[in-house]
Amino acid sequence: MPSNNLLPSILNLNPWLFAKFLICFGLFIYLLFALLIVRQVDLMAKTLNGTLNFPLKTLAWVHFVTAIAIFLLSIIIL
Amino acid sequence: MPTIFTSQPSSKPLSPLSPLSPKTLQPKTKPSHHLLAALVYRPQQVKFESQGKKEAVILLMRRHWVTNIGWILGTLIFLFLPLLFPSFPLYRLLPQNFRLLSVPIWYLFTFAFFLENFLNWYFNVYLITNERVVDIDFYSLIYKEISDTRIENIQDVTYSMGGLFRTLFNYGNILIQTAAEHPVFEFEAIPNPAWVVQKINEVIERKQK
Repeated sequence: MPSNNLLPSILNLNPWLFAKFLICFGLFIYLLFALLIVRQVDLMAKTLNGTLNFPLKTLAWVHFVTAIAIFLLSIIIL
Repeated sequence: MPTIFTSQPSSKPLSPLSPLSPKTLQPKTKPSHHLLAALVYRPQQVKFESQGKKEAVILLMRRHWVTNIGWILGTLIFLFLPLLFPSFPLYRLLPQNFRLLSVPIWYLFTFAFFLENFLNWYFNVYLITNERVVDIDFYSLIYKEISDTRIENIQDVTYSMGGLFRTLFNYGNILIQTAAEHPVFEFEAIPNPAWVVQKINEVIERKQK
């Protein structure tokens, strides 16, 4: 029966693989958060237009791109 | 009998150091046009969403920079914390590839912490224009609240300043009571509140003329 093989396969699971899955999933959620920050800065800049708007938008995008890079790195390295 | 107990008004002009003299209401620190200033008088290149064509921003105010010390210190601590990672037993148990990725992930979170706190300070502003009082608040990532009232609706302007830090760094809260639907505007931790209140009163007087 397939259920007889399920328990041994779970017990044989590499814990670091499970940790990798958790970290990658967490970084994916963080990626969405980083995208939200980009949207937030855009919204804020439209509400109050000042001289720091462009640098702040750039920082938000740099943060988002870095989050993507670290997410991809986590899939490859871990 | 000392002269303070008599009812005769003093014929002497007000001394420059008198609390009522206009000179004592000069800002102790000049309103700056610096990009990161918490108090800007007649800011240039600043526009807001619902600004009218003939509307000009007279005062742009943010919380005093001292209110940011907490998260700035936190950011500095987070920047140097990775140096202590090897001293944590849990860190030493991690495989090499996990240890390699821990530092970039840590700095990513630190950067987000810094950016969010900075955005929260920089974009939560209080504006006095020649027509309105505007309070722009961003409460979370996707929620903003903009309150405004016309200068003519202002009924009372008061400020309060108490405590060691506020007295030391000269910042306080300004309360504007209005006859509008939004009855109270509270500007928190504003630098030079006495001078700001003076400027608001000047705007009100100009509007009444």
